[in-house]
Amino acid sequence: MTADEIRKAILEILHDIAPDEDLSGLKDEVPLRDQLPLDSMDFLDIVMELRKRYRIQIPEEEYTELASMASTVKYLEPKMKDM
Amino acid sequence: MPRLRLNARRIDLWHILLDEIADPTSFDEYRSLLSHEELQRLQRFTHDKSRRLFLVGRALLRKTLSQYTGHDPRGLEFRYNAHGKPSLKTPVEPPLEFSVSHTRGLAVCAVALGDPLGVDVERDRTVSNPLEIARRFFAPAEAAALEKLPAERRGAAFIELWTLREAFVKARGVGLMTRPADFAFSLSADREATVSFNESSEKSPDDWQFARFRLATDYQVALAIARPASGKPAISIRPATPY
Repeated sequence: MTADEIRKAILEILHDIAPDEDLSGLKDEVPLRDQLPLDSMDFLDIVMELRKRYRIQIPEEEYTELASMASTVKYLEPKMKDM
Repeated sequence: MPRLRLNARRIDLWHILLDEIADPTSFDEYRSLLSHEELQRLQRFTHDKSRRLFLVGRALLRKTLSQYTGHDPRGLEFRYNAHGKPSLKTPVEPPLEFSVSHTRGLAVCAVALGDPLGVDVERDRTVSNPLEIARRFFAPAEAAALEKLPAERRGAAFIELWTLREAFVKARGVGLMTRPADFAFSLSADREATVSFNESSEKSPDDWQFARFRLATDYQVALAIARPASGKPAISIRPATPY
C-alpha cells in the first residue's frame, strides 16, 4: 500500500470508530486527540482494527507512533508496503 | 464563600454535563481560571467538543479544589507523576486527594480526605472489539467472564470493567497497561465489585473500596479508594453547573 492508501485505510477505521465526526478537515501533523474526541478506549479499538483488517501487531511501547495521522502513516508504511 | 469540608468517610463527586451549559459566557469564565500552559494547550485543539471538554475539565478541577482549600483557583499549581497522576504542588491542610476524568459530554472531579482515590467515566458506546481488547489488556479471569456473557450484555460489562480498572490504576498512580494480569475485578449484580490480586503483586484487596454507578442516562462511573471495608465510602454526587 502507498502512503495515500494507508491514510485512506486509517480514515476508514476512524470513521467506523467515530461515525459522527467530520474527518474532512483532519490535519495530518496535529495530534488526533487534539482534533477528535478520541480516548484511550478508542485508540485500543484502532489498534485492534489494524490487527483484524491488516494483521498488523503493534507493541504497546509503540502506541505513541499513532499520535497523529502523519506519524501513523510513517510508522505503518514499512509494515504495509507489500499489501 | 465558606470552605467546603469533608469527613473521613465522604467522597464528593462533582460533575458537569456539557450539554447543560446553556450560557455561552460560562466558557469565558472557565477560561479565566486556567493557567498559561493550560490556555496554550487549549489553543491547540481544533475540534470544538474536545476543546470544550478540556476547558471544562480543567476549570472544574480548579474550582473544586478551591472550594475545599480556600485557595484562588487560578493560583493552584500541579505536578504530575510518570503516569500523569496529578497532585497539588503545595500540600494543603487537611490533605486532599482528588482525581479527574472526562468522556464525551461529561467532566468529573472526585475529592476525598487523605486516602488515594481514582475516578473514571465512560459514555455508553459501541466497542467494536471488546473481547479482543479484554484478552490483551484485562486479566484472564475478566476476559473469560466477558466471554461467558451473552453478546448483547458484553459491551456494557466491558465498560464497567474498563472504568473499574482505570479508576483503580489512577488511584494507585500507575499506568493502565502495566501488567494487566496483576489484578482482576469480579462483577456481581447484587453487590459492589471486588478485586483480587495476583500473588506476586498486592496482598490486601480488603484495603480497597470500589463503587460503580450510572450518571445521567448515558454514563458509567467507577470510583476506587484506598480505604478498608470498615470505612465504606459515602459518595455525594454534586452537579457543578452553573457556577
